[in-house]
Amino acid sequence: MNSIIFLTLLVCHLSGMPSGQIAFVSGSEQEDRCVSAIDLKTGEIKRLGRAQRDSNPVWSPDGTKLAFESVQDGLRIFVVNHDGTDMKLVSPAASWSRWPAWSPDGKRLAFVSSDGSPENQIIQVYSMETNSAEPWGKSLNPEVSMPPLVRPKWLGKSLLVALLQARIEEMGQDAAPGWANAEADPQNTLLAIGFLGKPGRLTTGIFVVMPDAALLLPDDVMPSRGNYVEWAVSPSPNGKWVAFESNDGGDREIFVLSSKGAYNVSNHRAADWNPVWSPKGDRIAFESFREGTRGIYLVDPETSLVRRIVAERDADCWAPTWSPDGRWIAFVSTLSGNPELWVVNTVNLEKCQVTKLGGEALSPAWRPEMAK
Amino acid sequence: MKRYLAAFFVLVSISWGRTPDGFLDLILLPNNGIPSIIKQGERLHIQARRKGEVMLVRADKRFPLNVDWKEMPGGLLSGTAEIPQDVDVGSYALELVADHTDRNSRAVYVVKEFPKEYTVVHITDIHIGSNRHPKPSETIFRELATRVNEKCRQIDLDWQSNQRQEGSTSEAQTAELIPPVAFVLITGDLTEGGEPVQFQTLVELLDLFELPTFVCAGNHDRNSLNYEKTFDQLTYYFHFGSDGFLFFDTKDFLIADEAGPQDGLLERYRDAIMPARWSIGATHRYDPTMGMRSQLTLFVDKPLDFLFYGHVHREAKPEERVVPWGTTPVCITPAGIDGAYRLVTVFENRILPHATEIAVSIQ
Repeated sequence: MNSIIFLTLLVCHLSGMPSGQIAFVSGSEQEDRCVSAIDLKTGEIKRLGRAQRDSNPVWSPDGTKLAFESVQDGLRIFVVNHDGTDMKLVSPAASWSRWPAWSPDGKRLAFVSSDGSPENQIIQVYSMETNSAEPWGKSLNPEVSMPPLVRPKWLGKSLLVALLQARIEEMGQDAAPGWANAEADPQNTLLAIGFLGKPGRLTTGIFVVMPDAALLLPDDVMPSRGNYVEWAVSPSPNGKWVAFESNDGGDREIFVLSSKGAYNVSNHRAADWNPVWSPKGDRIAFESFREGTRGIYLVDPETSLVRRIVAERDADCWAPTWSPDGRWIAFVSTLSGNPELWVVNTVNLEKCQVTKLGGEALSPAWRPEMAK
Repeated sequence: MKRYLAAFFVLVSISWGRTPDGFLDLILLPNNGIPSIIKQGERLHIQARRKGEVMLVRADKRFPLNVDWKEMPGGLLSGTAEIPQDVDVGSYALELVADHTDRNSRAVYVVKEFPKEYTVVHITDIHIGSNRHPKPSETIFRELATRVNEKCRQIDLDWQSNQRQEGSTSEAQTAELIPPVAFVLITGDLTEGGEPVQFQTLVELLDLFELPTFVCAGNHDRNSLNYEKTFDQLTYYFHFGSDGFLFFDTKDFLIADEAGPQDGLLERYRDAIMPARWSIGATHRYDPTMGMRSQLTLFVDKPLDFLFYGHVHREAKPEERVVPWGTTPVCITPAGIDGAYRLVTVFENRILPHATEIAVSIQ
């Protein structure tokens, strides 16, 4: 264990800092990046990954397993137990697989797979029980080709589909072809970003993805009609909202979609991006450049009130991840020179450096509490 | 004897720049891959590992600079200093004297005015250290630098001659004139394998160019940290008169490195050059699967006006002449290792890539 990290964390604990584990990616260079987890109480860092340009660690909802991307004959998705045992390769051979997303029950893992070309990206859902994957979002009509779909997120207990169907019934089925026959079960539904248009006029949209259909959210439920580029769609854990980014309005903003429609909650002329829901789904952490550097802010989706959490004059802060109790946010910052992990208390804004590796510590993912 | 010894040591300390293996020493920025083009009276930005006496040096002329230093996160120092009005126009080494002396050659170019219309040279994929052709890569690049220098001098002469004869030249002759070349862009795959000795050779060869040279990293340069040790920055921007140039790293375009600091820097730097007449990007490669965050910043939300890149060692296919988001035109130049370079003229109302010139035989 690194004694400097231990001493730093000891000081942090004496001032009431959090406990738990944070998975992250570290290395001096992309080639040797490896997924590890740091114990916030002891400072112990445990290697969990393969050190093959590992990236994007994502904990299962019960905190027992970690999915991550790593290079092996392409970019593949691996799953490993929280203690580093039983590493399993879950994505197809010779593929470029990205963006792992656990189902709310932890039994399935969605990810995007392609042969390396952007137009061939499809969503695969891997069953941890049958150890097999199947493509989702297949078109009901074989003559209709599906757009490339990326960044899947499970809808979980969101009532969004039912709300959308009710809205579409009001509008008339012609307004949103395909929706009338869709029988979406929120537990069996993903949201994803789809690429639309042709090269030279490329844009994106939000899709509701089911095993046998992928339906574009109709214009009427979006903030406004037009060729805007949406990204980073993310349903809230409490099922009330869906957050996403859009350049609708001229610059990148955080929008929230609810039963009342979609509205801009960040609303600033500087770029706002990367919405991350708090565990209860009552706040969104996001990154913004409103004070010149890349900082982390919170917004209440009910009131659109924005609060600065951490923004520094000479350093960037990014990649927020919430503690399971919602009191802390871990993030990456260049405050000490290289990118390192920090934590900040969302109430008193006290912050503490977690890693002092001297290389790079990136992509933090706070481990959920394990089910008793 | 003592006097001669002292003179010898002074000479050694004055002429020495970078570390013995060619890496940056006390002065990080500017350097001969990321120089500063600046007017008299403007403030020069410096990044260094230590404070010290700083001066501009050319032949036997030395201009001391009065630097305001500021500590940066990580212990580095950032400084600014005004370029005195009596500094002549031209190329300078930047020297810093602390416990020892460091000097970055061709780090500062002092200009009288920034032209409204100018030309840049685009070179890419020079692969120093490659054995792919009968002629060594170092020789190809050396000859390429010579041809580029000759071409730039000729363009300058033609331009000056036209200025003198204005009124007597026909409109057609004027239209064919290329405005003088301002600097050279070298967009990655500077080396074959990113090895220290390849970078050391590159640093020496860059000094053959008579004009400023701006570089960025390519995938061949990035299997270690040697690019950063040689030029310091993977992502940077600068202003040239009313135009803004943004250089960025696209090594990991398939996996798309969205975890590191570059996405935030791109957003900030894009904002910094937003008021520019032209916002021009330069990188090694472009593909729609590269980091989506950087694409949102550079091609969707605040589209660059123009993008230079290389990597493919050929001319652009028709579908590659604009990024798929639809607003940023692209200039792809065939590889320097194959003897190629291209002139691109920046006019008031358009950016015009000229035909590729194959200037050097590879046999």
